[in-house]
Amino acid sequence: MPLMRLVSLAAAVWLLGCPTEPSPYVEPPDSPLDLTLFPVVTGGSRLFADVAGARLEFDPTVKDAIVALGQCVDATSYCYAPGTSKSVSWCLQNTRTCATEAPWNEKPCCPQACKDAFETAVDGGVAPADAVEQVFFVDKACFPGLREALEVP
Amino acid sequence: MRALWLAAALLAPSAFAWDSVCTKYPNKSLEPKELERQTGTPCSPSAGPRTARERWVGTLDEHRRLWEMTREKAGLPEQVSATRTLTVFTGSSVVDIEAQPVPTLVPVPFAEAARVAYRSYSVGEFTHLPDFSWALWDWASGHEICPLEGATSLADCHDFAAHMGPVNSNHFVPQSREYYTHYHQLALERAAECRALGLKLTTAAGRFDEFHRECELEALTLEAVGQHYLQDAWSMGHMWERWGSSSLMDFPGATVEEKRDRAVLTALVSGFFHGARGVLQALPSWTSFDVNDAMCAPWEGVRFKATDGTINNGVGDDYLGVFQADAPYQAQSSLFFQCSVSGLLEVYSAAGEAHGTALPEGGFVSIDPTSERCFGQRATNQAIALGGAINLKIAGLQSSIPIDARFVSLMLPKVARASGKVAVAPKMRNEFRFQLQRAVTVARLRAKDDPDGTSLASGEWGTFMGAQPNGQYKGIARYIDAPWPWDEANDRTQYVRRTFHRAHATEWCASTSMADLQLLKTRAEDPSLQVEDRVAACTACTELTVRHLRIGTGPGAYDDTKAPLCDYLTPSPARVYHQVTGITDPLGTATRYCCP
Repeated sequence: MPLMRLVSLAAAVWLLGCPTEPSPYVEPPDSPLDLTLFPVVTGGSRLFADVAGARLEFDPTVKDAIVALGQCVDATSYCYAPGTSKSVSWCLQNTRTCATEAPWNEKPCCPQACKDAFETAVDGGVAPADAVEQVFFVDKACFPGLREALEVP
Repeated sequence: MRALWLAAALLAPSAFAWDSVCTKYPNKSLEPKELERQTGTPCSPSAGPRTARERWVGTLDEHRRLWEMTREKAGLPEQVSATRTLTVFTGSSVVDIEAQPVPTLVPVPFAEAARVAYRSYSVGEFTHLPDFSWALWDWASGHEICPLEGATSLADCHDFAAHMGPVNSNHFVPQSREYYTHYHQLALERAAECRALGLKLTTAAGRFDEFHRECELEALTLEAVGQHYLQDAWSMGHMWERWGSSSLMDFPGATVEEKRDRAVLTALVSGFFHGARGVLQALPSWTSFDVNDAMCAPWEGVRFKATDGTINNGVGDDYLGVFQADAPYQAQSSLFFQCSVSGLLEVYSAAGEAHGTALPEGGFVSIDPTSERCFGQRATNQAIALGGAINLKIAGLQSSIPIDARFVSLMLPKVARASGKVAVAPKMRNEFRFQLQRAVTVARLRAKDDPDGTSLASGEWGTFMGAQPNGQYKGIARYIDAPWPWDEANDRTQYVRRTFHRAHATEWCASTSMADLQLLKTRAEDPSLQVEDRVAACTACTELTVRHLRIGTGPGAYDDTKAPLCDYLTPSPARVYHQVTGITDPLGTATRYCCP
């Protein structure tokens, strides 16, 4: 019966498609925002809101440390579920670890240095949510390119 | 559903507060209830001198409606809400409104009167004032004087988005408490003077009760201005310590332009958490949507903690109907009205209840309206996190776009310049993106850790664009009406006194000399004046002189049954003696005295 089993398996694959591996990493959920529906304005960005004194556009092409930071912290904050095994620490530690010094060129990831700094802070008595703020938004040193992005003239 | 997402090209936005409206009606002198039945046109421009000339009555005039509900619960006579028409004496200059010359409303010394302006309003409309004017003196001067640096025009100076909005942190707790307290105290001070005026008129047999009522209405007008801040403090979208100051100079920045940029961006972000219905719902492509954006829209989970520790559902701007009638919001409205009615009754009682005895609703218990009880309410962490999204219903289906760290990281903020909207410098752009990422991430985590806590709303959310939570900025902005007593030599004092000159009859009786009265008469009799100038001069002369006029020929020979107003209000007023054969009433006599 091996041939029949093989045919059945082939038929199943053909009908159902090749099964995909679930991501082993904590990732931010898909964004409901479809940027292509916002009109393009000068410079290639897209218009979101125009108020008398200010205007907000999107630049979907930007790739920098701040974009990468957003991916990392969103993965953590969306994942976190109090009262379950998905603590802040678990969520952060289970994000993909950035492989390069340019995480904006990778899939959503968090730098190992940030993960380590977070654990150090928590071990030192800082509450996990506060440690996220401290590591990513106060110290900033662990995230490649972040300080440079904030110090650009 | 996704195909319906379009760019949001916003019109001039409504104020981030319970709604305020300005409407142009053919007949401005009608009662508010009659105006409500009419179809007026929105004021154009929607800021500046135009708004000082029209009525603040219309659909969704939520601030005024909150005042009227407060008045009814306080049991004040309906007459308190009637339209008043002030006779204001101005010069002959004009101000430009959309390239059309319009007569000025800036009041001048009575002896310089060249025009007469009739300004109709009702007390409740002045709950809208902080959304249109910088202060009562500003309204009194027709929005024709700008107290700010850097505005390009009077309309620009009073434009909410361009100037008023960036510094409207005082519409949020806890600053709103300071501003309400300031105006409430002003109202009480004026009210005390009104009561004194009323007592002086006790023996006048009712002949001058109108002046006591006018004074009382001015005191209530000041209270109405203050209650804007109290009302805002009870709008869900305002129950948090918004970043920023009510003074532009408090914002960081090497130049005024940079300060304004930071203030504008801070206001923009604050508006997202507050709830963006007011700016999104009116968009042409959005009118079929229901922009039920938290925190002002009714949402399960959008709640506040009152000072008694209870956690209650809350709504805000554009949802007055829900606030007023829906059971989940009964606690919110009940707590609010106890504060607002207490404040109104304090002022009305202090003024002497010239319009009639107040009869508050049965069981009403008065409290200190300036207390923590009235300003200590704070949005929960969960509410603020829910505010961090754009919510709307499309064909009945709820959609929410989270303002999360990824969404924020793509933002490119631009600010207004004379040449148009320009991108902020890369440094400021990245600061904006990064700090907003921090804010939304911290909010999300805190909401999960402590959903019913109020740390985010209580000033523990950190800074944004260098602006502190508003509780860190103390003091009243310089553009606001000054604390009592007002400096007589200050122009702003004169604008109010000349506009509400009957309410300030005591001061005018005391300060008007014989020389002043003679000057009025001389000008009124000047044959070289143009007709309009002459009419104004006659009217001004009559208005002031009748208050000093004794019908007769001298101190021992006058009709003491018709003693003038100033005889009661001041010990030694200037006195005019005059009589006209066949005329026995003071007003007729004064008219003939000024313009024979």
